[in-house]
Amino acid sequence: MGRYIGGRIISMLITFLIIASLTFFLMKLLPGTPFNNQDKLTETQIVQLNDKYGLNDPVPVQYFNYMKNLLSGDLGVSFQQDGREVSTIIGERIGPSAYLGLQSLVVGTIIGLFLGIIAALKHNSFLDYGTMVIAVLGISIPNFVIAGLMQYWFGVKWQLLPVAYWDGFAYTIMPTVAIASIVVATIARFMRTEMLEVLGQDYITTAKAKGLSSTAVVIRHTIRNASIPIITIMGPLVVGLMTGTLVIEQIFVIPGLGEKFVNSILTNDFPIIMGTTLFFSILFIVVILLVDILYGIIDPRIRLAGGKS
Amino acid sequence: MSMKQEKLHDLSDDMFQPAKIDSSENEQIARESTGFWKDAWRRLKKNPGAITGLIIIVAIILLAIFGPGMNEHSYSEQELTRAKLPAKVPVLENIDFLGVNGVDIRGTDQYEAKGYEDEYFWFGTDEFGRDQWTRVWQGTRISLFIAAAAAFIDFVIGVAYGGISAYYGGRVDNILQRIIEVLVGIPNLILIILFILIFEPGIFSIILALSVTGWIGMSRIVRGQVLKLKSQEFVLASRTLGATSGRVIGKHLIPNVLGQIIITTMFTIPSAIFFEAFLSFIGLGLRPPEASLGSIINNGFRSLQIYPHLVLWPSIIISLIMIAFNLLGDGLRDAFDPKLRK
Repeated sequence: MGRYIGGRIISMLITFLIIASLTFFLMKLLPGTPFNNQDKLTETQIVQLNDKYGLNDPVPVQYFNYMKNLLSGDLGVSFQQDGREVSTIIGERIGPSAYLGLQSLVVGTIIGLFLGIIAALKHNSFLDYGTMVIAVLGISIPNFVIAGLMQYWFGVKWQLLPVAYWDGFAYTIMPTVAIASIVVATIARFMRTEMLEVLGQDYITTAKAKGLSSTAVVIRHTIRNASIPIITIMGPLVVGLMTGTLVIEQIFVIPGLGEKFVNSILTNDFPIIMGTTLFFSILFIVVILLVDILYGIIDPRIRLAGGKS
Repeated sequence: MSMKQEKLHDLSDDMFQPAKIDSSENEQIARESTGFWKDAWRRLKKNPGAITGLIIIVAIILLAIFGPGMNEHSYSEQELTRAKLPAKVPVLENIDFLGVNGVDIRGTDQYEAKGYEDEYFWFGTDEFGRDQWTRVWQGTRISLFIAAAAAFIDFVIGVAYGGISAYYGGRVDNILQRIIEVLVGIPNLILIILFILIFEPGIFSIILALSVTGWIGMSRIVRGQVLKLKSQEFVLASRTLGATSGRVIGKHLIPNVLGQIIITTMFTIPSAIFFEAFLSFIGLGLRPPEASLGSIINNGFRSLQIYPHLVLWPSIIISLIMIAFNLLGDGLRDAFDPKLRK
């Protein structure tokens, strides 16, 4: 197990170095300039600004400095916001995003598991078909469409929920539903398939034959065995959540990291784009690593297959 | 028991006929033979969801082709005096609850107020007075084109990469798979965004950006399938008969993986449409007057509270496209691989 995790961590570090370099060089290729009010600045002021941020150095030197700073956890300073540190900006923006992401993940997973289990236990019934319709709709309808429709009906027309901004629990409901829809759909579908598979196994028949109550069979044998593979889809789901938060934060004007990222793209604020990209990438890589390790612990066959290669 | 025995005794000899012993007739095929494709189509036809999806897709493609030409307005023709008119459709305008009678949410007939009583804008007009019907179908056309092109590039690269990796195996496979391992670690969303930032936003840079990581899924599926197939007897038989690698790949491996490839493509298309809309949504999409479904929805959001029709129609169409492709994809998966069916 230790060797397996060690190997995974090394490949993770390589991936991270590649992402960091890629981000850096892609940023260098970007058209446009990062400074506000470009037209009002004089030649000398631009040269001074470039000097201040080290943009006049040769690219290899810039790259070296960037990597050196990165390893000491320094992500640079924002070009747009009077030289505030990128890590500080990420730090103060991460709260709402993390809250929204986690709330969507937890709520979505619980509802998804519940729907999947019900659909499988009532296979080919009205409930089953209903769940599958919800699942197809949840996977198909883009989250920004769901967000927009909710904003219109619940926010504007019926005035049930606040239309936008971030000021307490009521403000999190619509964004959470919009992001969680894909989680609910994916997990419900997956859980249903797994449950049906497990229900057909011989050990379920054995459990029934030895006189266990049907509740015990469902809870102790079926649900437990069916939920193991759910872990494998957690990686892609977390990525989906990240994509979700980018748009949803934009739509609901939530002061989160995604909203900051999108705005810094529009204003060419390189350090923030790079910092946020790296932050998202680290998050992504770590989640995938955790999922793999977790799965290796639960199902030793994966670990053996993975360790050999 | 005794009843059955009695009945057996009732059988008289003249009820039987000697069987014809003719080996040529035994071998005759009584029914038309069912090939792989025919069998899949037969199963697909039994799946109401998949057929619904197929019909929706055909209808939307037809509308995307002919929709913009169905009235006299062009997608970039501006006329500020008729800006933001709600939808109005002949005949249907007399049915109140459909909401296509040209009356806005405050209850005034905008067509009357702005002096366009005789005109009909089936989806209304946008903030510059451009006909929304034409724009929506023009946008659908572009969205579908981007998705189809991205899916095609994914198909070409993915099949080649996965096929080579699995067919040659060994060191080639090892190197190619290490490259994929690194690529998979990069969140594709971020790669796509960086890509679009560098190239000017436009149809081709969006297609390119979608293809940068899009082919990985396809290549993995093709690799898995080819690995499974290449050790089977029919491939060995073909090799023994002197078939070249090209022939084995082209005649035996690819046709057998084709089902999986088609299914994967069916799911690539909606995800490409989603990503394109998503890019438009965060301001990295097409530049006006060019429009895709995503950029039309994004524009409409600015005036969602007062003119919901600008968001409503393109949203419905993009959702329909996504639902249809997902339904068809699910149906095809069941049709091509009955073992998977639960």
